[in-house]
Amino acid sequence: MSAPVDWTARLEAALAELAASDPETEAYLRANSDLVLRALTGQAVDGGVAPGGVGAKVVVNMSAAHVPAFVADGYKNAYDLDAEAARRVGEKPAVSAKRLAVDTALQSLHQGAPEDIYFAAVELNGCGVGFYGDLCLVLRDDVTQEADVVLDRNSYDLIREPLRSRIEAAAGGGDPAPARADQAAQMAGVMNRDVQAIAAIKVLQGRLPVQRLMSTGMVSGGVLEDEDYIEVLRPSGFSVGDLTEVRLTSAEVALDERIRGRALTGRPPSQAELVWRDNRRRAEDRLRALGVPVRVVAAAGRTKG
Amino acid sequence: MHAWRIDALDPRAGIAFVSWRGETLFESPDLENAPAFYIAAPTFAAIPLAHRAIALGAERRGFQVGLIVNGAEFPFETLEDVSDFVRRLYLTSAGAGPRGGGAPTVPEPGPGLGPDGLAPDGEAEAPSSDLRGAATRFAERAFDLQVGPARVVEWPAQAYAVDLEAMEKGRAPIVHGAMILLVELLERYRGASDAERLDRWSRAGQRLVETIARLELVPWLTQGAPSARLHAACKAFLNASQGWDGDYGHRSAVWWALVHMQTPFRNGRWAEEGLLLWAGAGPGSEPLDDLASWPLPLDLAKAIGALDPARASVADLLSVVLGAPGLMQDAPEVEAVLSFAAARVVAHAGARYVGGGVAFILEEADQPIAVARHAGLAAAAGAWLAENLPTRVFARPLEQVISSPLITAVEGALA
Repeated sequence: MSAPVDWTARLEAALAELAASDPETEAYLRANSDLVLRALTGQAVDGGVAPGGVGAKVVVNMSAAHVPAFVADGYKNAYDLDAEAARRVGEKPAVSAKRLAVDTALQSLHQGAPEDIYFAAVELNGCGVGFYGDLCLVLRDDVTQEADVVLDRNSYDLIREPLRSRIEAAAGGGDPAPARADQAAQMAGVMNRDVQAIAAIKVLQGRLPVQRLMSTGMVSGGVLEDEDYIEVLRPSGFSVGDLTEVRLTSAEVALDERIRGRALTGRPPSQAELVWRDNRRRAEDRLRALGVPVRVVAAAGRTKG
Repeated sequence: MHAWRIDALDPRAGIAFVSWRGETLFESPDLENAPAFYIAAPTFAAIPLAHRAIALGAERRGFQVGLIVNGAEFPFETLEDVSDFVRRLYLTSAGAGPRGGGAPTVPEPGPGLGPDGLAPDGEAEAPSSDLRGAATRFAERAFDLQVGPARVVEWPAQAYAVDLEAMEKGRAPIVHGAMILLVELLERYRGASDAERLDRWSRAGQRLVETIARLELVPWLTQGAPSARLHAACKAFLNASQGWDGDYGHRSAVWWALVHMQTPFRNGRWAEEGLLLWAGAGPGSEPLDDLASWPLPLDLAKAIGALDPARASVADLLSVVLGAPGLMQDAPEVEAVLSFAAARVVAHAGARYVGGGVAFILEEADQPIAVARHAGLAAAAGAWLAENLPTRVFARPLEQVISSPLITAVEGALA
């Protein structure tokens, strides 16, 4: 397997490449890189000790419809749910060749059984990977294990272009599994040591290198942007007591309130809209009753209670 | 053969990732490029995705991977087919288990409607209905379609306002539904044996009486179509709650039951001023709060496949039947409760067909204003149902997937 990636050195190389030998641009890139590092650790602009509870967080998105089950039984991964079949329809499939290929590639990184891994994402001030659910569950810092493996992208990138062709070429027509594991190692780091550099590379490579300082909102947006996120491989599940807060997007809160308004005074909502809103109300009530704050992210990088 | 196929699906969340591809999800270790879309509650609009890795990553967050029916990945012909499938599955999933609040009284649901249902006296058989007829045709088409693409379906959204006959056709199941729910709630009063249950029962009663009053259905229950069971349920309730054991006629028994359902344990002002029933005209509570507080008769709860029939509510029935309307065929009581529930959803404050919530004991049925309002109500409820019923009928195996109750077993423990 490949040696662990030196993400600090990789960040240096990325800065040099982005600066393209222009000293002014490089100065701004370094300032922006420092800004990302400080934002991820929660330090103020002028440095100093980071206050607790700020900075990068490990998050998992979940539909409000699943909060009752989560509160009762904790968070479950694909293998847990396959065993229960409680949330499945149709006939039970075998574990897909795709999941097996990715799990095999990741196993040398986390050294555990695939069944024991729980996937999460790194988030700064936003609402996580909204595709996976309307609630962004934010884990407490002390629950996030410092030695957790992080990947600079979705692990399923390993089996699609362009990495797939690169892996096949490295395999030279043989079994691609070892080359896929090597590629996974090239995407991997350790939570407490590497996540800031991984995030800085991701944020800076995602923007044109201009001679302006970035804002916190830009950093937040760059760390997790729609389908593009930093993946966390947690070696254990979590429960409601492990949450520091739950975040809601302002767009969905607006939709929620619009449904309420229409139910009371206007064009009647659809049944699906009523059910969706009902699930959210009940989830929020349940979480608040258990002492979990629920906040609305009102603007890029900013939250309001 | 290429088709729209599910990459990842969360029925209860109402979320699906879908791509245009061959049947390759389980066999190949490679994730090929394909047009990919994201479909999610509450709009179920198809949103394009840049790539499918996000879809496969969903499996890591509790989504099921793919949809296997008859040993193969199910092929959809259009994205609209997928959207309606996910929407219907979301509804049947939502309605299959008890909602958090649960229906009011737990231990003693009514004895069930029995083989003759709860028809008004002299009506052993419920009249034919356009909606039920359409549900029967829907189920028959699904039965005929063993394989193949979905077929577009349309539902009757009659313009009930056009004539009196059409309006009465639309109003009849709404009144019937009100009667079914009223009887069920009254018969559950005896189970309200402690303060908490009595409080929940009372809240449900207030919501039901308010709705009945705002929809101007009171005269139709007191005079419109006498029902021996409703009469008996009202008298039993008045006896249990007020100690009244007189031989009340149908009109008086129903009237006083409505009055006292609002405040069964405060035998004061309402009893003295009970010639006038007043129920706030809103905006008040949200529709699903009302619907979830009204318990279903045991027969209907079983008919919709409720996990815990004694706790099933009208909200559950509405979701399940809108997702799987075949349940309505040959079941006039299901249609009746569905129609009343739809009437409640469209009865928002300010709607021109909603009254002020005031009823007078001597008020006669079919006052001209009430007729006009009922025409509007029936039209609005019918249109809402047509908008929320399936837009497609699928091959039978997929219809069975949609109808299969989905339960997260622990949810009941929260109620």
